[in-house]
Amino acid sequence: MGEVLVITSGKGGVGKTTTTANLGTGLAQLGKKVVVIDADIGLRNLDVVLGLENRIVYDLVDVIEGGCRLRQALIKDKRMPELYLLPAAQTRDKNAINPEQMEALHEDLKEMFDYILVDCPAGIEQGFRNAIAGADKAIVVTTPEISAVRDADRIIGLLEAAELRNPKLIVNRLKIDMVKRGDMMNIEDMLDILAIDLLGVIPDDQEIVISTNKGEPVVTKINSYSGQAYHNIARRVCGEDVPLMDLELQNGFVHRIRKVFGLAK
Amino acid sequence: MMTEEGRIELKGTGDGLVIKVHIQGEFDLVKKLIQQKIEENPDFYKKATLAELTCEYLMPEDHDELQQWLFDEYQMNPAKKSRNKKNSVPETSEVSPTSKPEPIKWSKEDKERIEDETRFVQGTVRSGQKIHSDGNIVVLGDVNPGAELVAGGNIVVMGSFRGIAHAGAQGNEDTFVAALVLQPTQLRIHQTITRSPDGEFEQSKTPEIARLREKAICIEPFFIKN
Repeated sequence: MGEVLVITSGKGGVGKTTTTANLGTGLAQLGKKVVVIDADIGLRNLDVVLGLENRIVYDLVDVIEGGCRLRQALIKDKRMPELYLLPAAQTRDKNAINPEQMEALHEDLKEMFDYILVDCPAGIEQGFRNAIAGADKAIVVTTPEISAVRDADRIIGLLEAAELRNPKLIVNRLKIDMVKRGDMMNIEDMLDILAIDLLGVIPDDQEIVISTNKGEPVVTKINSYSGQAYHNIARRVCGEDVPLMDLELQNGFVHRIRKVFGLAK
Repeated sequence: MMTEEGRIELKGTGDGLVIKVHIQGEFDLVKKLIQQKIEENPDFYKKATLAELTCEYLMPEDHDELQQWLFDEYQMNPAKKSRNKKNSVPETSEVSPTSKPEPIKWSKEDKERIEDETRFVQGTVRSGQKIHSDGNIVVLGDVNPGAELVAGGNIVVMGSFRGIAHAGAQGNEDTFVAALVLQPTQLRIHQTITRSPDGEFEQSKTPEIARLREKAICIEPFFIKN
């Protein structure tokens, strides 16, 4: 029986889709059977981030409306044989489906996969309610900005109201040098406000932009710092006890890896 | 043994059983030979739908009798269309029967009306927008990724085409998709579907046209600069 994880944030642009793509790929790398669902109907992105846009024939709304069989809409990832994408419809909107239909879909998918990751749209309206319906666990993504943390706090409240207790936190795009100078919120400040467990921290990394544009999740590049961070998160989701990376090591770590690959002086 | 391979053909298809008799002679002999074939695998043949029964060298009444005999003996129900097959020489151009649903056939008047109908779109068709027409679609502008054009007829884009196009959506195979810059996410013509290759590839600088050639979508330039 699979587990449904919803990845949400409230605020837009904090990295929900990137996190879903990388966590899904990371779990598939660990040998799990994974499906990632794009619940952002009308503003789909997950297919682009995974580089699978040109394979879409049927989508989530087709499945729910009975326009195709579930297996017809599942797109096999081009790198990971155990990773599948259920894309969102682009020419429809969030009202095309309802929470009960999502729950029924999850029940079917649970039979087929170990992990079902749902990429939640930004906001707290219908799209959010659809995405969290039938979820077993929630992962809240935030960035070290006061606005993102405020929205994350609101989302945690809504999740709890929907009986999704103990969500886990991923802090994305942390700039360690700015934190050191005191120009950016640090992890402790955020945990203080949000009071939930930390699942992982993703450092701000140009590699993410490069890999997103190429449609290749950064977690496949294990020598990148952010890729390593996502890999660790995937292992933690699987129940492994992986210590947080020492963020101070960033320069040293990257430097060492570069040296191994002959890129550093 | 009288039987020779190929003189009587029994073949299972998506529509049912096809029986072809390529010999002339006694009707009873033909019956006996068919019987022999069927007894090799009775479970498979019994109660099968008889999609086609041809016996080019037999008399028309023998054909009907043979069909009746197959029904009495093996409960083979003749398919309706097999009736007009009697005594005919097998046509070589005939498309082999498949289990696929038949595309909608338009009457000539319908076809002409639809071919005359063209929807013109001015400006950029953006992600999430879907343009539908039973006839043709002409876009005077670009079509961006995530946008979808579905036409019963042809699609012409006077600009860059980067979205999804479906030409001949209602069953017309002789349709095309043409654009000044053809870089589709996905192309569908009739029931054939294709996608752009993964990774980097060289883009043509000339306008291109995509059409069906032997059930495959082919892209070729339709205008060569002098």
